[in-house]
Amino acid sequence: MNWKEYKNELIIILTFIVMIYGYSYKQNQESLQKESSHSIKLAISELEEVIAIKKIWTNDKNIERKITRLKSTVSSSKFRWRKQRKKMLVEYRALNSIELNRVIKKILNIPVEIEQFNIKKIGLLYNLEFKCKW
Amino acid sequence: MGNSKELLLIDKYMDSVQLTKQVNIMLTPHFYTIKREVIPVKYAYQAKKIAPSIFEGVLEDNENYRFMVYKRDKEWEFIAYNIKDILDFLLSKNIKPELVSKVYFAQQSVKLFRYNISLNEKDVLTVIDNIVVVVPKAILGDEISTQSVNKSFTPKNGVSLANPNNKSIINLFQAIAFSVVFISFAIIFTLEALRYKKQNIESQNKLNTIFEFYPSLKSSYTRSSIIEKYKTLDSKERLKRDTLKIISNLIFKGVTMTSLTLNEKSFSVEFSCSSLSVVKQLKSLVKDKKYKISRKRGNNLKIEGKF
Repeated sequence: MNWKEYKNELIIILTFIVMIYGYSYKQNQESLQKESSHSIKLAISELEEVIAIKKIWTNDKNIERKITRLKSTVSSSKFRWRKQRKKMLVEYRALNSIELNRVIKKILNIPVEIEQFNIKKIGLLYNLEFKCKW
Repeated sequence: MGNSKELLLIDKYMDSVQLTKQVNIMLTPHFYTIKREVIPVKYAYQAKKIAPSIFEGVLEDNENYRFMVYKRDKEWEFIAYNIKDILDFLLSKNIKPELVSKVYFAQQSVKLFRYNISLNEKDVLTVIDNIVVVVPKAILGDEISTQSVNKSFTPKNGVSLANPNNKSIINLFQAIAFSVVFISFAIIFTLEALRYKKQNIESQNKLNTIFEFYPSLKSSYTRSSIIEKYKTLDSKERLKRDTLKIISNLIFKGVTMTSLTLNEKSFSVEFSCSSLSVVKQLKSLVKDKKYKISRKRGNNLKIEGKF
């Protein structure tokens, strides 16, 4: 078969192939863009989650500030405080129920890992031992 | 009529020629067969479709035959010509097909034949019954008036030798039209693809800008492991705090908490109740939780659980 005999058909076929190539290139870029958009959304949502989580659990300044506030919850004669780097042990003695509630409320709002939380009723008063780290 | 190129009369007994530029050629009846018919069709393409049947039995059964059809007065004139024979003849006379612009047939200019046209020493072109024929000069007598063929004989429509074996079902105009459409689409698709690519790059750049502030979080693995670590921690600590809230809700009138021990793995709380009914009430409050409840001496209750 002499290709010259079918020159017109060949022109059409070639341009059709170019069009198909253009179409598949577009489809390819579109699907890459969708994938990329999805990964980017996922990355951004993970980033936001990490940033929010870190803000709570690794915000040392905030944690230290809240822990220091525990000292002002009751009079200084009623507690013993031992802090070493990112670990703390505080022992409260002879707290009445109001003071106990106040202290517990503050403790529960500090984003620390509770290692030990002990309460013992002695007569009408309470002793509280709280050990944590961050 | 026709175009401005020279018109060369092609006769079977002509001498070779040297052409330097493109010419039109007019074939004498040596090179074609003509038939006239009255047929009930309106358009030339309809008449062309039945041309092979018009010449049935007249021509050799040869795929090199082509047909030209046109209307003259009330009749259709059918001209059958053998493209291969014509090409072979032209080449034998040194006429290259690429120098032939258009091919015409003497019959097309029948109305311009006021006199005979001398072909060579022996033959003339003349018109008999409105058909251009080749006749020997001898039968016309000694004194015959002649004219020569020139550009003015060029008819309106001719055929092309450019693609003599053209088996295309699509003509050049159609091919170009389709090509333009396909190329346009190809361009549109390519532009769309480039737009998507640009969007991709812009999104990636935005993400990279964010990562400049948090370079340690660039790796998805790092992010996942941080999230995993703190989620575990978060859920554990929430459970401890929720447990403490549940325990505090168990303290009502008649219930006194005597001790509470809570660590990372478990908790244990002791309540002193004022009466049996209070014990029962307390038990019912923790019934749906997965705690271990044990009764101590008197109306004391111990509740234990694991994290």
